Amino acid sequence: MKIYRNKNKQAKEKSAGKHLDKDAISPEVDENIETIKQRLGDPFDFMARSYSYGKDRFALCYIDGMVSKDDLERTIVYPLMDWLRENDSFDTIGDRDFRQHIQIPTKMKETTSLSSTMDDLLRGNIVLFVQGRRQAFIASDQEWATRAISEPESQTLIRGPREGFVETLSINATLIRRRITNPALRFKSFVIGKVTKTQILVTYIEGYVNENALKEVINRIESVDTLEVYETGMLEELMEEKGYSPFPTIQSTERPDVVCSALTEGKVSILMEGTPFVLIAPTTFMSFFQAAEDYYTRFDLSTFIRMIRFISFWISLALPATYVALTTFHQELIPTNLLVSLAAQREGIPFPALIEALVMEGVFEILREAGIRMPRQIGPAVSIVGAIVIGEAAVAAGLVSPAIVIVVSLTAIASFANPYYSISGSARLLRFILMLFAASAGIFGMIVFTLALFIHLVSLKSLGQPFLSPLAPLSVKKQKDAFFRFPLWWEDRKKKKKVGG
Amino acid sequence: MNLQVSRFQFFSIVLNFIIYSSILMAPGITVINAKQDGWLSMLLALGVGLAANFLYLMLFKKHGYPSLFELMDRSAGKWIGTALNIVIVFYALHLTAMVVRNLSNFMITDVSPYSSPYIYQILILLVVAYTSYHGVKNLFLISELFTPFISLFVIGSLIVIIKHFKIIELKPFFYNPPSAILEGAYSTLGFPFIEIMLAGAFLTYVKRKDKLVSIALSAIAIGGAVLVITVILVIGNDSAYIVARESYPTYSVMRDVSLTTTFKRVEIIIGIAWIIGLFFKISTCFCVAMMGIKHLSKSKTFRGYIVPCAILVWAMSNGLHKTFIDFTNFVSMDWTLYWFTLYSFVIITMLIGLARKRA
Amino acid sequence: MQDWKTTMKANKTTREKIVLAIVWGFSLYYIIGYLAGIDPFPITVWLKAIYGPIYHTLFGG
Repeated sequence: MKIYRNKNKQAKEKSAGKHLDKDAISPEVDENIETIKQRLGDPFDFMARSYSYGKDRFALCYIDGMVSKDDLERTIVYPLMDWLRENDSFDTIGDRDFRQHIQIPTKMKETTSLSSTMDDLLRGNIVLFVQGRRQAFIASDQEWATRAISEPESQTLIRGPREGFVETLSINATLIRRRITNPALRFKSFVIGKVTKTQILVTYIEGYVNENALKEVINRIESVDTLEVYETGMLEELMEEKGYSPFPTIQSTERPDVVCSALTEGKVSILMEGTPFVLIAPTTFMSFFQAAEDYYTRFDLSTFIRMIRFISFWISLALPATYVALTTFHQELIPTNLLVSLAAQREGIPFPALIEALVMEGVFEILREAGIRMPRQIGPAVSIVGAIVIGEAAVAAGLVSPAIVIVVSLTAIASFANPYYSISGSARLLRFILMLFAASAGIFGMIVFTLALFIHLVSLKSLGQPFLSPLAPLSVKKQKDAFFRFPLWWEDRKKKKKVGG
Repeated sequence: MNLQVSRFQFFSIVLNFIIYSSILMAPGITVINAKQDGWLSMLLALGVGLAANFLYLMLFKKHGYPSLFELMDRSAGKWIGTALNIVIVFYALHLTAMVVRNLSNFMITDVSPYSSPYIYQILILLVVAYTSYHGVKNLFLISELFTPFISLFVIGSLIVIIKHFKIIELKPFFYNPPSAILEGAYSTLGFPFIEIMLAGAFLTYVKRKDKLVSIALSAIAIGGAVLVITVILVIGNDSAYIVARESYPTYSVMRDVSLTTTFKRVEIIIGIAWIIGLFFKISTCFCVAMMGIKHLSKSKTFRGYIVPCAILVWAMSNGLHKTFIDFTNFVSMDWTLYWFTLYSFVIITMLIGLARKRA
Repeated sequence: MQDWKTTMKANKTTREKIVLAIVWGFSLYYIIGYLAGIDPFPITVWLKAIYGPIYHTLFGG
């Protein structure tokens, strides 16, 4: 029964495709314009300009503000009018000639479907209807107001390119193109979001890319079922592995050079219209500690700085917890002199170390959030209140000890030493849980938490690739870019040795 | 079977298993009987342990590295094999419980006295359950990840205690009668050198099986060597008289070492290494038990058995021995024979299996 | 690869159910016994009874 009905439906659709005029383009120019106008709800920015020469007519439709109007005249209208003036009629030219006469700088295609014409129109393309023809010519000459390419705000560096991605997809693609001028560079286009119909590009280098990862990316993008996406962060969440994790398993960056380096490593990147953040997958835990600058400065310095990053990640995760564990459980581990001064500081403070640490960390988190959200003009006020009231006055009033202020500030500074904001966010959350563990079982609790953390990290996968590689599973070969940044000539020399003997 | 383990991962598990349960206790156990010749006992135990494991591993090799439980089934027939498997599972759970107890004993006697042992037991069992929830592969990966770090900790600790080492404490060699040295070796043979036979359950999952026997044996040998060195250093630091009175002499020795005025307490390093190492031992035993139950029930995953077994282990770790003294006596007197029984049964079964195969 | 967001949940076989029941049963029996203050499975006592004499014949004392 069901099959029968389906068949019936299919048959109906087939016949509909043949005869139905709804989706077909009418030979009458005005009729098409009317239909589009009607379907779009007669929007204020829909422009339809008709031109006639004798009995021949053509019309250009576009959305105001999304196309370059100067180019429009120069590249489409003038050539066509010239042509008409010389030949009196469109009838004498074929489709191919027609296209050749329009001097559109970018690509041009033709279609017979009105709905796809409308999709293209809404993406900022110019639609050309010609009287008497059942197809529409679509020329893409998008140009809209966009932010200029500027230095990325989230990942700054001292030496290295200053260009960052912008909110326009085509410009972002160009930024990548300019860095990898290789014919094997691929951009695959997808549309996501039932309502927003956002365009995304999956980028990779053919022949270098990890095929499994690419397949997985495409598979997941195709199975994403959502109404809206505005930022790659939303896509990231929709694409990530099942199961909860405080760690990001997809990397995002604003830097084209980072994306290009990931592409050459065989990773896949995902660009989205409307956001400067580009996703990179699969990623590893280690790559969140590798800044682009590591490769632009000398290797010894980079290795040193990378060590600093690991240490600061650990500080930002565990320092308050260590303070709590040491002061409540393991006083014997603190050197005597320090212990005496700590005890003197904590004398008269009404809270246990855990509460002290939790409160101060909480206050710091509020300050940080306020610092991001507040209007720029009241910035100084917040910093004054933060520094003086929370720091000095709280200590002077005997609410908290000076030691915890040092601990919290060091934790805060350490959490900013990471090139990727998303991973320091994980440390930010886990810090509080670790503090609870430290307060309940001291260093033992911290060890247990660390073990659990690594059990979790080891079990994580980024698009089917182990997240903690090259540490577990261990790969000695890949260690040259994990904890250390080996000199770039290292591999060449090894290869040469192999060739030599 | 999609569980695959690299040879280094297997090596690291065996190494952790050997070193960490014994590094704090072994000096005490051997020295009680063998006095300053405790290190000779350890060496002897290592030799016997290596021989015993060589036999065990060679038999495994002869059988073509099947899974331990399957091997029992195949060699001894369905009924006896199942019975043996249940016994192995019980041994594994028993060992898990003992190590958990050992850990909590250590925490409440040496690290933070007057605290409740339950919190340590429950926390460690939670992590163990967590890792076994993620599967055996997870345990091997995490062992691979941590082994370099905790090995560094152990090496660092051993280097630190060289500072106060006095050879005079060890002299004269062979002062005690051979029977005393034998008795010292007996206590430490079962724990850890025969216990390690549980790791045989993982042999079948190692990806490349060439040189597997020598890898396992070298892990045992290296772990044993670390233990011998530890015993030598600990006796040389504290003298046999004092060591015999301590439950965790290595930790006490470390406590007396001060590097500079700021770092007076370096024993926490070995404490951390020991806790992490014990986590590996507990998880290894627990996972073997889980794999055994999985084999018995013929299910695809052992996730369903984790919770009841963890509860059982917790209860057993407290219920098996009322006091710490009882625990130590049992370990030094009966434990080796208890494990040797299982060892002999398994070896005999494997031999029977070989004979059946030939016939 | 397809089911990256769905989990498979297989039904338990009879054998699995039996083993699961035994494991839970023993575990509960032991923990209730332990909490009630009796040794529900005095394996330590048995082992001492078996191996104690052997140990003493081997090493004396």
